[in-house]
Amino acid sequence: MKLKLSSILLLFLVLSCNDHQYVQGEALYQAYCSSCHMADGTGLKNVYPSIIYSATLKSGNFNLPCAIRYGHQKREVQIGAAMEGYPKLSDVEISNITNFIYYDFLEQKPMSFTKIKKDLTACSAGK
Amino acid sequence: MNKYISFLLLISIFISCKSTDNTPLPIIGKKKMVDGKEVDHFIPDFSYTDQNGKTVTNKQLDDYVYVADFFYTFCPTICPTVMKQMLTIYDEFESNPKVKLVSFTLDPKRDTPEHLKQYAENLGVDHDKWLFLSGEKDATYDLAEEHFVVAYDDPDSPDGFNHSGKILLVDQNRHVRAFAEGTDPDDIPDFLDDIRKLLKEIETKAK
Repeated sequence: MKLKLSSILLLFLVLSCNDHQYVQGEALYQAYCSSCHMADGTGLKNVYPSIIYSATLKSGNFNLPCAIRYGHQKREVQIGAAMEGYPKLSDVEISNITNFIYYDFLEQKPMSFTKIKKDLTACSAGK
Repeated sequence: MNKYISFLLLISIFISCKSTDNTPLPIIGKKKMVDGKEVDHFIPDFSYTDQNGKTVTNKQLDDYVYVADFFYTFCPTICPTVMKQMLTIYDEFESNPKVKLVSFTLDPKRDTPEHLKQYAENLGVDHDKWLFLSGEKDATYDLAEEHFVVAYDDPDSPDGFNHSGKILLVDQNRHVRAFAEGTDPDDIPDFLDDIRKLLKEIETKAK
């Protein structure tokens, strides 16, 4: 009986953890990204791109950690505010935002910290 | 016992009816003195240029109910969220010819009519339905105040000015009748109801 109860407890714990794996990532997303990309990641039409529907992000050919740290500007004519970077965020914080986006918004596998570090090194060389 | 239940039922019907009551929306704001007479608050005369390069004054808006906000396109803080709510309102009343949306820019230097036109196009909205107006900055600050929006130069703010994100509903007589906090999506359903209520009021009066 005792075993059953503790296993239920464990299951509950695992489930509740799964539901909210990237708590810090979500908090940071809401603080730094949501005013333009919206709390639910839907963006603002063709002014601020959506994250949840982004084919570029889904393709995996976009260095998201670098965009968060150094900003991102793609348009020839800037319509809204340009995406500024957040150089003060640590590697771990950027990793948590990135994985919140990949896991919760894009429903993809989270990225390993090693891969994120590698991505960040790739752009720091050019800056 | 049966009597008791039917009494309760009656009360609950009465209460539920009350929530959809017919009291008109209030006229918001302090009364003004005009020629020594006290009158309800109203939006003063203004003249702006829209994204099509046309002059827009209150006269052009006299036949419409309009939803107003104050923003600027390069605003990195609250504006995108407010705009998202404005888009929800736009989508809801897109086919209603009585309703217009009006966005006043607080940054006329960068938000030229051409730039605002591109912005409207990127939002994918109709240029005659949703007006993006630019004009003199100080006059816009004053006009914002008449719409109960605070806007001021603020060196601590990312772009040098600051403002609150209210969305206002203005009727055909230039009275502000309702507002929503544009930064709070939960405020919008009630605001949509307010717009419907005002449209109904106007419809009833026309009969």
